Amino acid sequence: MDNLTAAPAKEMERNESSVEGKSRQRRSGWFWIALSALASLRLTVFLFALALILVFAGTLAQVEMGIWTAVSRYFRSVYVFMPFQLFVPATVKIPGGFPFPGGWLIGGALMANLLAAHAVRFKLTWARSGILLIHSGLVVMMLSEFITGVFANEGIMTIVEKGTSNYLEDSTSCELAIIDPAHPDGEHVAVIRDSMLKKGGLIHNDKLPFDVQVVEYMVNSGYPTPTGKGLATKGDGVGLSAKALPEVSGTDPEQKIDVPSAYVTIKNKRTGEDLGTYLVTLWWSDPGRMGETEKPQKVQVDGKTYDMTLRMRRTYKPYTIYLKQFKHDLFPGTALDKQFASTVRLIDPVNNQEREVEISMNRPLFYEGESFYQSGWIPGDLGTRLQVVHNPGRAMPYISCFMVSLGMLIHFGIHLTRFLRRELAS
Amino acid sequence: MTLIVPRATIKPCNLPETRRRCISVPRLHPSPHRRSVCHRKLLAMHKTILSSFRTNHASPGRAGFLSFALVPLAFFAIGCGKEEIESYVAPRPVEFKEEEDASTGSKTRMLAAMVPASNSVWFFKLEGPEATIASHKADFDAFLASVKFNDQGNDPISWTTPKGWRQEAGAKGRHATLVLESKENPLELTITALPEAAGDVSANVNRWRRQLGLAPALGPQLAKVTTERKVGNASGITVDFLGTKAADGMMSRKARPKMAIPEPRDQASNQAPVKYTKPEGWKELPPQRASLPGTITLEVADGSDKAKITITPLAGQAGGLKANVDRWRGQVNLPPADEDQLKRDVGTIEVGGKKVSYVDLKGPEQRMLVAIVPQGAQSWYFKILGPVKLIEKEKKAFEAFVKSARFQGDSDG
Repeated sequence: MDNLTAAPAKEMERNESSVEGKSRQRRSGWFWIALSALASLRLTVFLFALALILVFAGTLAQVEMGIWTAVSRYFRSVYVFMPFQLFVPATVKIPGGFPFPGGWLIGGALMANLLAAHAVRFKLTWARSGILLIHSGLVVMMLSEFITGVFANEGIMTIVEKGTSNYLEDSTSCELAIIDPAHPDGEHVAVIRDSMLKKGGLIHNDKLPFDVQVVEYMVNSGYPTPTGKGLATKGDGVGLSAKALPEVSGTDPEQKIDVPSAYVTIKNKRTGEDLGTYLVTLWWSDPGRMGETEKPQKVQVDGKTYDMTLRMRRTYKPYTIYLKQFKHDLFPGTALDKQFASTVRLIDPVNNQEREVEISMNRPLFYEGESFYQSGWIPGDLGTRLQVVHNPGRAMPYISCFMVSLGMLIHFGIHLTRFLRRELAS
Repeated sequence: MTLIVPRATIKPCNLPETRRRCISVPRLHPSPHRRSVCHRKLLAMHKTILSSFRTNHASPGRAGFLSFALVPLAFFAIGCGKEEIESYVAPRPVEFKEEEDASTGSKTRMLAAMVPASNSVWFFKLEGPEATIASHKADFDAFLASVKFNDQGNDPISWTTPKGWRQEAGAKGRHATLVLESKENPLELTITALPEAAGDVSANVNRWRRQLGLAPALGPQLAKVTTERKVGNASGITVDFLGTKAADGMMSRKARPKMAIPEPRDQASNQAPVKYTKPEGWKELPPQRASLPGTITLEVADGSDKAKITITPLAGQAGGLKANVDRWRGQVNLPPADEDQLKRDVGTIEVGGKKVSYVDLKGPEQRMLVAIVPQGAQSWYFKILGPVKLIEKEKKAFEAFVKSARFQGDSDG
């Protein structure tokens, strides 16, 4: 089949395939056909076009909804329902929408396409080593985004000076916490995440000491005031009502946090008896993080008293951080911030670690796969806020960039040397 | 000098035709009609793309790489089941107490009082070794009881210097200093006046606590470490702290007592945060130093009768409705209210299309009307206090005044 004496055209093609000496076979079988279809460059271009539209739509969407809602709906999902309203000015009202592939579906398909292309058109030669490295770097980048989306979590640890903390709080999501302070093991907590509260309806679960019926859940709300019709019949919310507000827009320059509120009716698990409707709100859990203590409400069921509070989602850690001192330095003679530094003591009884560390701007603490950054402070310099990030994929974007850069250098280097060699030969 | 332009530069080519030919017979050698550089590149790129569409050059040995085609499927397998209801035992944080540094010796005790009066906020502070202060606490209390604030007159404040103490003129921004001479334990009682903006209780109390190495008192804890009491003919708060003074002694740069620490909740409200229509006969007064930061004060008079109107923004629950009503009842000489009485005292008034709380308290001689208008996390308190007859006369004007209020950023409620 190979005709080595053929015209330069054939020689060119042979060089292109670069599997020298091996005969080219047409592989049959459905698997290879399918794989070849998956490897198509047309598919790559099509997927890129989809990605363009998705990014555009996601960017428009976050004007009306918060950033994190837009990210989770458009980019960290398999599909998304895009309303027509997104693409037209607000004065024109168009109902309905259409389903569209989400970030993970497009990303996954792109990666499948890339890997299939390599399988089908595999050329492991030095000439292609640069391209291989670039593509591997892209694979690493896509994987890192997926790993980050699924496995990463972060939160803020607010510690008053001379105080301790062993949990993180996530200001983008909340939970209804039901605490049994008299449990023999310690503070026994059952939490209902906001994703479940948003769905509404009756929540019945073995882990909860009573049933919770969500009458109304407000993603963002105003401070409870005596005006308006309050639905609460028991607890601190009697006579007060919280006004529902729209979600903080992704384009809001101040980027305030959403402060949710909800009316929940407590019901006895066994008898179904209505034990009152409570107003629970994040406002009473110090959302401004001024360091005030939260005020849980008391719920009595079957002779036992539980504390109930709507608070920011908490992640407890096996270690404790004690804030020895918080320093907030200004440039002398000015009101400009120079440095924020927290002298903390890390106490980890599980790993038998106890040491004093200073965490300051650009000098985070790295411990057990988590990074502690000096993120903010309690007004009045009364305490610190540390951002604790757990991201198993944190090194991957760096590795990916390195691989892509190296691949590009190699690839262009190969072409350059080829070109120079030809120039010298001629 | 003429420029010699080489002949074969840019010559247009009929692209579709040549493209077809190029695919099957690429020309690497110079061709009769030279194509432009960019055209050649375009052809090469096009050829590469089209050649990749061909799938007939699979070769053995690639099976091993098929497995990673399955990787994208893993995308959907993981991460779908985040628990929506969880229960756990919340671990208690490890208790940690800093070691008492024995080398610094005895503890420092601080007695201080903060009193808003006479257009300023007055600070009275006495600090020293624990034992010394204990023996002179009575002097401090006696001094506080003797303080007199004068709204008019040249001297805004007067007091009786305790026996054994000597008065010195104030240095470095202090109004005055009372000194107790002693070889071993000299004491200084400082008297300072600062503008009302520096009168935030939490900021000052916590600044003192930090100076003594004590943990800050926040929120409800603040009430536990402070005492409200009468100081002379005014009232303020007092504190009594015991701690260890840091080595650098004097207030460091970090403590900024003069800075009015603005509540983050009402940032960007430097210009009139509330606008209103002033009723006929009402007079605006300059900012009263004795009042809470951000308060606007007005006055209306009828002969010798005077009524004071204030507009105050307060954050959050401001102590709670009942607590405030009881306090106001005290101000018009009424006993605290029980639940039924509370329902009778608190009515509603419509402001900006919303119904807000409206408290009407009629005491034996004085009457008070308060409208509480919520704005986000803050509430604006519109209060008028004066003799019963005058308030009766001004009630309509007061209501119109409250209804005319417009706040900054008034689109939301």
